[in-house]
Amino acid sequence: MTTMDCRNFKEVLDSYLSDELAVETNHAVMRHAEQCASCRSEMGARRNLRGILRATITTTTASPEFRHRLRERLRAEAVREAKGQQAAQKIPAESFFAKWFRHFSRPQFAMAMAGLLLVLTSAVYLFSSSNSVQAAALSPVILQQAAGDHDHCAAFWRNMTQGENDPVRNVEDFDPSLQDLGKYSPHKTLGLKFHYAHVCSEGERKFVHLVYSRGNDLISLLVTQRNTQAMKSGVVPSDDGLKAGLQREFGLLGKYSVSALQTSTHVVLLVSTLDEQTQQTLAEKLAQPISQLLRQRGK
Amino acid sequence: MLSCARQQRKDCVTLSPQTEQLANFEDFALGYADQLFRVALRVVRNHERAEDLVQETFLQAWKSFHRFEPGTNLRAWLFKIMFNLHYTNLRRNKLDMVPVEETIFDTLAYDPPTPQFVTEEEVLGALEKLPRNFQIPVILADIEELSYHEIAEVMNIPKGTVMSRLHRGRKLLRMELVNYARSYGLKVAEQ
Repeated sequence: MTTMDCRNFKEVLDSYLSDELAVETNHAVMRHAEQCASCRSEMGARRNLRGILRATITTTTASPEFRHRLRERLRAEAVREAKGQQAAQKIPAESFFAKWFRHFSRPQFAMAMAGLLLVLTSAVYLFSSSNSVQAAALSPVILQQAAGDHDHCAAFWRNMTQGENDPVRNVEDFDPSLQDLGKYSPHKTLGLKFHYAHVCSEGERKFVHLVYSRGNDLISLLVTQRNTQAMKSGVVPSDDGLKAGLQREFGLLGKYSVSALQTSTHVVLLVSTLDEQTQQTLAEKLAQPISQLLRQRGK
Repeated sequence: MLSCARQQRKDCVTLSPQTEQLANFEDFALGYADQLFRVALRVVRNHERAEDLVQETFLQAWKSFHRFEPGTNLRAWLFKIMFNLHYTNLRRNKLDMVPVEETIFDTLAYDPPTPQFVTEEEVLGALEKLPRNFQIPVILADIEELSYHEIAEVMNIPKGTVMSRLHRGRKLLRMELVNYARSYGLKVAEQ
């Protein structure tokens, strides 16, 4: 049996407190402490010192802003990697619309097509006897971007929960008038859980992104500016698109449904993996009030 | 093309592999952000550079996350990445850890009793006075509660060196606190 004097006790005491001693030495420390009051008191003092040290230092934490930046940075890195891998795997066949859109985005084509379109639309307008204005269809690119944004982004914010009325993050450099959208979203009555609202971008398009969930289903409400690139024709029509109702697209990126509503200034999109009927109902109840709000604000 | 929901597949909310893996990484690793930041702050002694170091650490960890073996110590792994990055930065900037007079403390055989009553300010003040080579192991062991073995791994120094630095670091800290207590006693006596 090992015996221990006060000097030895003090030498190994800190390692004892760190649980770094061999079993036998541990026992020797405890036996000595039982017998020696001054060493017991020293043990208490060092334990107390460690407690204060820990309490003092652990109040320092990384700021919420830094954590947010860190998450965004990691997410960007993951997206960059994912894109790199996709490109390396195969170059997917370009859809007709994408090709068309790409051609159209060239300046010389844009000029020619815009001219042609102006002639055509005036002709249609002149010969049309109806008063109702059909909403111009959205570009498939924007629908793809919305689905892509949901895919890359929504899952990250699933575990985050903001306060119900928290403003949209980082909206300052995009469209400050959209910062309180969450407040007007009727998600509670629809049994949806609100997770996070922020501004993010997919491709070159910026979205205000509100993330919701219902059970296992993730739902994204996205608001973006309606400009020529958002439109199939490349021209922003004067009508607000509400008359034509929802534009829907299924099976984007293999699994997402996108419903879109237009105002004269914005496009409101709902992306999910829900079935057609549920998606339609949700779009009417969730996206419609938002688009109506934007429509009123636009006036 | 059928939507996933219409096929009634259970994996409906499947994510792309990167997003799924990152969500996994965030769940596990980001919980240690505070601990890494606290230690980084002591290591580089500058708020902005500490944030940079932690961010660099997480990016590096994310890139090599596929090499991380589940079940092994994630926290120690993160700390090791952070120290490696720090050492690389030091080399790049042609700086080095301040050489320490390790011998002078050997003569400090005197080991007074630890003061029973110390304030947070006194403890913080005493910790700040420790040379960095002693301060970091003390923080890792007594605050962040890494084992001696983990500290050796993380700081890339032998376990024996960790133990001697801890021994001296802790002793210096106590001596400093005794000095505070003494000066306080003197003040009281003067009054």
